[in-house]
Amino acid sequence: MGVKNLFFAGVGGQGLVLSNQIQARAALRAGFDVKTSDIYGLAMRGGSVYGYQRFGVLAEGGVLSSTFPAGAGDVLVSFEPLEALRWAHLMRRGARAVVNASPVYPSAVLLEKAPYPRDVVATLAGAGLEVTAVDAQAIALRAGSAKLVNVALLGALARELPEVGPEHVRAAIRELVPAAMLEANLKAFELAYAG
Amino acid sequence: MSERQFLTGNQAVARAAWEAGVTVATSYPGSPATQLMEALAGHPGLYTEWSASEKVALEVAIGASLAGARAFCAMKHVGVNIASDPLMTFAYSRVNGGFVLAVGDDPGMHSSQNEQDSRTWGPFGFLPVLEPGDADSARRLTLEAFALSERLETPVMLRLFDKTCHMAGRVEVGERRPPASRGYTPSQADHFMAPPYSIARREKLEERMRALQAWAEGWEENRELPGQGRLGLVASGHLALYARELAPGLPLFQLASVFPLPLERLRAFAARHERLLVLEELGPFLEDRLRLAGIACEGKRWFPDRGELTPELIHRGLVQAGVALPPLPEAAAVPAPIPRSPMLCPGCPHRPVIRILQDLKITCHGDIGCYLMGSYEPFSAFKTSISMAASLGVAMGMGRAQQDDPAARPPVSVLGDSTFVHSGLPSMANAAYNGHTLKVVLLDNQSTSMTGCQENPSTGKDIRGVKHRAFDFLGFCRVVGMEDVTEVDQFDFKATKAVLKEKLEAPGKSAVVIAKRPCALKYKVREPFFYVDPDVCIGCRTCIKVSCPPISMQRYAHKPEGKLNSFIDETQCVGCSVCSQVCPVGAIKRSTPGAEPPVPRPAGHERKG
Ligand code: SF4
Ligand code: SF4
Repeated sequence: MGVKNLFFAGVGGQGLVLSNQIQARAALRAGFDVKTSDIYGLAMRGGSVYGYQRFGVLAEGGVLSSTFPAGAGDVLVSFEPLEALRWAHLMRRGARAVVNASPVYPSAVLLEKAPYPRDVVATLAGAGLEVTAVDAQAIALRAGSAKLVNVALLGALARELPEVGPEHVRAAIRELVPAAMLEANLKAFELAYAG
Repeated sequence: MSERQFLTGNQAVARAAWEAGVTVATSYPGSPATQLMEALAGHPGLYTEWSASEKVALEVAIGASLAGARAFCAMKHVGVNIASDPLMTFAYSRVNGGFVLAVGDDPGMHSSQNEQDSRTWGPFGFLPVLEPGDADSARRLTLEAFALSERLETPVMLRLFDKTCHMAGRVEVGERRPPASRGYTPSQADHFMAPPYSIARREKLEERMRALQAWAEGWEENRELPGQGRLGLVASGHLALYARELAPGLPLFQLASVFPLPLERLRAFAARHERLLVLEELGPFLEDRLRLAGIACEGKRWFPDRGELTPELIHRGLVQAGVALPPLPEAAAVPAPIPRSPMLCPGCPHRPVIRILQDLKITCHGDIGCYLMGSYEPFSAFKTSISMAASLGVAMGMGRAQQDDPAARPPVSVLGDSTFVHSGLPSMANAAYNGHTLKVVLLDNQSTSMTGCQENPSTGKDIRGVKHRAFDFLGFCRVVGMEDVTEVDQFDFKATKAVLKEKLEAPGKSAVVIAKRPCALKYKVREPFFYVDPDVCIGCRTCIKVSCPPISMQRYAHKPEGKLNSFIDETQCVGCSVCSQVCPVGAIKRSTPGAEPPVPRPAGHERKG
């Protein structure tokens, strides 16, 4: 199968590092070799954040590098529409994009220095991406908390990654999410996975 | 028994330090190396601490090593500048318990003020420098670093990158195997680093460097990976992995020790190839050392000497250097989107102070902490930022340079609690001793927030949350000779503005104003949210200029076409009240818990859930 290249994009504070970790552990459970690379630091305060994930078959040599060049991405998981535009150039033509529909305005928009981009999904589709728009915020609220956007997106992502399988994502959620929040996280995952 | 875990580079180094039997570990937080100590503090059986600065961290670790314990110290690259005073002399001494210093470099300056190259400490300070490429090698190299440190009685530097710290992969882990205690035997000849002892130790360094050279030649982690062609590649760390993936057929000399280099093996590798190409981030460190050894090579001719080397840049450099590679895949083309820079959090206690300082039009010198966002749009409150607590000295010097200018007002230094304790204490003593007129705004938010809200002397809690003694900022400022010290609650906007105006504008008189509200991220403030009454709002945008993420100008269906009014996204607002205090017409009001605000919502912002 070669190495599968995922890219997570979002805004600091949306729980992106945790979803990259959960997805990585799901791929490990499914028997793949996995490497990830996340951005930390200043980006936490509402700035642009991102993470790479690559998984591949161990017997085929596994994964060497934790990042990949522009044009090699297979799946883009974006927590926010504008961030999907920012990173779409990393994707190959025909790549899948799972995009949360709720915008988070950057300061340039709040200060009325720039308009928020219109028709993000159409722009992405025009660039050759196959886009699934997800109302992850509504799903998260139905599951009990706006904070569950990250796991809701994992539910939508699981539909794109049959080689990993939802049972391994569920197990990874159980592994990484604190007990008090587990029920709500699993609910957000199931609601989004059901589509 | 061995087992595999999925760990980040930082966690893998921490795991290895624990396995190696480290008993004392110290750090000052700084990205990308912050999680090293956080991970280590989660392991049992050792002492860990957030030190007040990198220099103190290093000295505490030195003491532990001298006593015969294995000691570990972690910091970001610029932290080594602070710690270099003890480090450069400790390197002369005879190391007892294994001593490893892990340093996180940041090419591309993702979260740093410069991108200095930590490898240069190697030849500068007679230190071996090891460089892992992924999480698994990070563990192996850390274990070797402790063994090497004890065998050759030297401190060892482990050089990490933003990329190696924050990447994660499968790591083979082992048990904790502390070596037998070496104990402490006093020996001035080995540990009292002043003449004549230091002169004798300097002689011994020649012997140690020769032994290190021999070790580098023989170390199996410096290895040749076979390939075809007349061009041989030399690379270390994660770049070696990038290159192997982009050009699997290229002969590769993968370096794990970047100082000293296994020069004889590299010479032999070069002799078997027509050309030698060096792939390295930042300056031509490896390239220069190869040339000095008489080994012809190319490097910076093909690859940039600043910023991060991405797979694209490596691919381009290799192709331009004449390596036949398949082209990179065609990338999706989208228009460049607007940038998204970080913003102060909703409820951030720095926001009102920064707003006031800007309104007062005083020259303010900024410092290192979240408040540096006070120099981003729509603020430009801070005019300079250099290094930890430098704002104090900069303000003193600028004040002296302008002392005869009647139009100049005394410059102001603005810094946070952790930065103040880290490097500001001698500056405060200097101000009093030399009679400077110094104006200081101390943003004591009781947290080292920019690196992820670590405990610090202001909280009085240690890395494990145990309470000791909180630093008394007010008392310290008084003791050091500052007579005029005032505490303010910055969520009372008007009162704070009056105090700052009075204290900072008064000529010829030093003053310290301490703003006491805690970090909104660490302490999770959650008061009833505020909402805008669009029928009171006059659209003046004063609230927009406090730059809080939930506040934006929106169109309300019942208002005239083309007119926008303010709106607060209640899912983000934490209810600090600052925006309501700047609104000139009282349009921003506190909500009643459980009740929907009695105002219309803007178009497209209907309530969800
Ligand atoms: S009250 Fe105003 S300034 Fe404070 S968090 Fe809410 S929107 Fe931001
Ligand atoms: S400050 Fe008050 S009047 Fe001015 S835009 Fe904001 S809410 Fe409206």
